Amino acid sequence: MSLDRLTVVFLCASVLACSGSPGHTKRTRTGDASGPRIPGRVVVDFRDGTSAEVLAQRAAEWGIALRFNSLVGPEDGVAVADDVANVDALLARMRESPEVEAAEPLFTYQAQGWTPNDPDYPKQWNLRLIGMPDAWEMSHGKGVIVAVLDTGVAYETRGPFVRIPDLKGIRFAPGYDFVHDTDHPNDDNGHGTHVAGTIAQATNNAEGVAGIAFEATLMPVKVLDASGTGTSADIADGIRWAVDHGARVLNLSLGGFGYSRVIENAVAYARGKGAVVVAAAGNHGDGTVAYPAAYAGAVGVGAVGPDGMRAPYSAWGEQLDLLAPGGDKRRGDEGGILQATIARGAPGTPVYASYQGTSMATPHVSGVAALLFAAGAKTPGEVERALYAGASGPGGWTRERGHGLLDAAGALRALGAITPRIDWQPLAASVAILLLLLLSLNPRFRPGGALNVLLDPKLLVPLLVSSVGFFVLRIIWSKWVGTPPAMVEGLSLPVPDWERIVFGRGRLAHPLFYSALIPLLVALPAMGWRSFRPVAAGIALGFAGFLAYAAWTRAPGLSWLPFHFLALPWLLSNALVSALLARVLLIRREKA
Amino acid sequence: MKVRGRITFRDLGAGAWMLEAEDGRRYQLEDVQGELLREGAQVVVEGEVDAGAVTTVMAGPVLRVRRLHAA
Repeated sequence: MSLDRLTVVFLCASVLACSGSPGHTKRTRTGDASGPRIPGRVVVDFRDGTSAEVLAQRAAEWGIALRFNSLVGPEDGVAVADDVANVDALLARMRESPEVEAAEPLFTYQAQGWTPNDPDYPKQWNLRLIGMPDAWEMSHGKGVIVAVLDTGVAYETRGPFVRIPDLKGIRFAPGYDFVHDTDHPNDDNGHGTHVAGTIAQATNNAEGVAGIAFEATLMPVKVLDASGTGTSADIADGIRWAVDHGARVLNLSLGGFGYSRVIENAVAYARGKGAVVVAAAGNHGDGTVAYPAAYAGAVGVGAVGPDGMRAPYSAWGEQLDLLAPGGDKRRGDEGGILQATIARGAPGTPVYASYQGTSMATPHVSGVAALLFAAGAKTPGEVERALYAGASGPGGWTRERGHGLLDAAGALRALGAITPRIDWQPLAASVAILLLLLLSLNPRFRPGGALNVLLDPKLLVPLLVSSVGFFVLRIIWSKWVGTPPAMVEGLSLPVPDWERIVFGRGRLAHPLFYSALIPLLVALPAMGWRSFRPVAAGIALGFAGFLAYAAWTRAPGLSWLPFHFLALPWLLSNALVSALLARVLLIRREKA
Repeated sequence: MKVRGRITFRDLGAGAWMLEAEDGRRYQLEDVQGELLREGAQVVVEGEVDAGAVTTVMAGPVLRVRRLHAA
């Protein structure tokens, strides 16, 4: 296909991308149960509400030991049996029983997404419930400042206080203690440290438990005293102080029952300054949401237990926005939220503790808000839309469940769908570089005016694809096919970001992709093939603009570079090489 | 104000002693300690509701206690 035709295809595709799409109803693709079997084990799904007695009776009849698979077994009826001699014969007998809805061999499932190596991560049902393994593939919340307005955080070893081991390596921004008016917001209660852990516990450090946005920066702001109580004045001050010092997410795992204009104004101020304010709906278990969650500018969070149902203590109502795991300890500590904190009354003693409450649900949402900001959300509105669009549940808002149950992976995917990130600035940078190059050339060697050069499709299309991306591809795919697969997402990005096809999203950029290597390789055939030169020049210009813009915005860290400060010179020098390469390719030469 | 009711511990957030009043209302007790703070104790509390107080427990308005005695 000639290059001119390619342009026509590109333009047609753009037009097509702007028209409508048919609806789609999803149905299960059924088949025989298959997969890697675990020898000698079966899974049985009894009718919901089958009692433990019936279970024991059947187990005795079948001559096996049956146990509920998890905490929620008595409700959902899922039980497993080990050490079964003849699996197929047993399954046939089980399927005859009227209480059995389904019985099949136990399969292993390859864990999707990323699993941290923290030894107690398997106890964190809450993180799996909100889809963290998939979400961690996309974002770790890098660099986003999350303020924890609470009883303080065990972030420094000083006097009677310690930095708890499972916060080692986490970045902290300077905070403030509004209760004692000092620069040392240490925790004298344990609540604030627990909440901070859900947001950013040290993760994949082979110790303790994991947190959601463990590359975020925590800002401890102490507004509650040792008993966990505070005043509206301190909370309003804390909100304004945190936002003025760079916080993009404010976690308020606190609440009261009196309306305060002072706090409402502070919340509005924070949102106006670009911060998301996340607050607990309250633990009084009725249909009124506590303050500050009930203020219009805040995201009000209710709590669910391990079964995904709203916990009995959780408030709900008109101002409820989301549900998130807050725990339900009626069946014991394993139903709560496990994080590292300090012992009650002993601020120097690190412990792992299981807490419950809408206080615990709130930091799940704050952590995911940090992931969203790190993944490119620009405003609180974008973050909130992604949170709500990604939430799981029947869809639509209700007083009982808000927009549904928090889903970190869903929110990140929704962010991509809400704001297909087409960034035009690198193109502007490329055009500016082109103008400079043309000026630097003796008129005898100039290939023509800037417009002449730019409007040559052989140069324009490669320039667009390398600086802005083949974005039309993703738009078409989402309209007519569905959620674009990673390959399409990757190809829709500017060429330097195609590294994500190879290395996945959310990590640091690869320095070889963010370099002049690709333009140089493309330029090789152009040495002897004159008509290919505009293509190579377009790619070189696109890279020059993209890398210069990346340097200008201090955008990505680069993996494999041992020091952070090397990223900037690397990007600038490679932008320069790309620009010089474009200059060489653009020079008009007499035909030999 | 004077409220009669039953003491109970709510393990929510940082946790707190609550008063379940005879009229069904629940208050979070502040500024109080002593052996009457035990599950199920029947008490009479004298104090004032602090409408502006904000807490981690969020299970009822804060009642700042002046006096607490057995019912």
